[in-house]
Amino acid sequence: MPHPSIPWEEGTSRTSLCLWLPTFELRLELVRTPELDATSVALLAPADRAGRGEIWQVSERGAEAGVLPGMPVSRALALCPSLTLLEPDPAHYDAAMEAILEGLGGLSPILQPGEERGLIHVGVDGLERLHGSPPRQVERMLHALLEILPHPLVAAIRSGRAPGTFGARVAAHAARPGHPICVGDEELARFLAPRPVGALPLPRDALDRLARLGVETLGDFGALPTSDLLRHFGAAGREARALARGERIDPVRPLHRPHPIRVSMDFAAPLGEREALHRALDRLLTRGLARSERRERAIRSLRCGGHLEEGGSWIIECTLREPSARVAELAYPLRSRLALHPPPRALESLFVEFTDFGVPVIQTTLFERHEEGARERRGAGMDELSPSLREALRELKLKIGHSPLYRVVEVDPWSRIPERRHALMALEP
Amino acid sequence: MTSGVRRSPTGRRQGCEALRLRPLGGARPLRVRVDEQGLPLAVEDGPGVRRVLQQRERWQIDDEWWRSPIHRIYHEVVLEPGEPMVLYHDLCESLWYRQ
Repeated sequence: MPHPSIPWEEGTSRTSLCLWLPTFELRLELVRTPELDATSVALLAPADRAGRGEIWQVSERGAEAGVLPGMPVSRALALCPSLTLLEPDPAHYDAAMEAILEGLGGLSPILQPGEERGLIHVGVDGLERLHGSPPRQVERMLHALLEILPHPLVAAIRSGRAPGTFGARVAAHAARPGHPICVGDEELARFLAPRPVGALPLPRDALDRLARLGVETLGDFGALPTSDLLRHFGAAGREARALARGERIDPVRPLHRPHPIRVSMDFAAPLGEREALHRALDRLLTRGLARSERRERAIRSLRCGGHLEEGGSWIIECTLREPSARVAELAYPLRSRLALHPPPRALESLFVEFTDFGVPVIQTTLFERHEEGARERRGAGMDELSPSLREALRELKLKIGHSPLYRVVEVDPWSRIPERRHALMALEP
Repeated sequence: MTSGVRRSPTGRRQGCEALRLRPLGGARPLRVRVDEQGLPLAVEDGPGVRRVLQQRERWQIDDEWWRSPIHRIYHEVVLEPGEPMVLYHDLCESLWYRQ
């Protein structure tokens, strides 16, 4: 267990208050169209999810008719002909999540969003004097959320307070709305033991295997010998065992997000043609890269999306293998994702958002290749340099005795060992 | 065999040497404080200690077992006040490096 006096642990919180609103996205849709509240409604999976074209979330009425998440639309409609299908609006859900984080940020400086939207860990260490006892803290959090979300949504939030994010999440899943579960250090192992094993952060196939083996609860899992878990699940099995037994406490770590850079454009008429979207994308990337707040940083991950004709939104995201600040290198993965997950309808607007950054890249124009086929002539050396640069290089060599200018050359660009991918080659005038 | 090699006025060997490649992206050793799971908590950077704000990715490389084995666990982290950094733990030497 990390010692509390270790200075670098100061920014985290050992105790987590997990706030969880199940089917967050569907509930937001029902707030927008309350007339659907008492009907069978299902939300379709967004474009960039694996289960595209399938049911993502379903209302209680729909579930009663036998419609389940992950079900193909045709089967869902056969089971429930009156089912209303809704297109997802990820931009709206993200905005709601941002507003929630903003609202809770006034109560605790340590917030960690969960793996899914609608789940947030709030670090509550040391908040007793500020916000009172644990139940009172939950009340304060929910009260703050009332300024952001409508009352029925806040009333549906489940809360769990426990040491570590895993324990708090399990507690929130076990809690009923309005009845928070607070678990202390001494009770954690006992509390976790009867909970379903599906709560463990293991891959789906591993959980299926456990189900086939009859391992149903965290207690069953924690009782398995470490050697067996290592053999079947590797290091993840050992870590999961420590979680299941309440021996491993993952603190709430504050969210660190660089401020995104966003550029957008509205179209005079809805745009659906692929080529036109590519051109718009290139223009937005160029504008985004030119923004001063980028401060020469390369882009590590970015999002692209827009508002759809007749409502809804569409978003694709990608993370680059190597951060880059070149339009072509940023556009390529976006175009690939666009081809895989095109917007379902024409777009009324398009935006590009740089969400994460790599180290600053300066001096990107020294070896600009303006001519066609210049890449093939790499190694020709001086032919690609501008005359002024060539002259400067000659003078420097005369002055210091050797060429101080190098070219980056690819040696084994796909090597798994980073230092073998590129090398520096001296340029001689 | 001296074909393609000539002496410069300063006596510096040219030709082959001029084309010699210098590795890029080499690793630099540094001290890292870890938690009980071996995850980096802080990096000792010169006289100061910089906390790890976020653990972004972790991956392992096991290669070249047939000559000089390479076993590394890479950690992509964000250090305060927001600087991304790639660290690796060399399992053969039990040392940490910045890449």
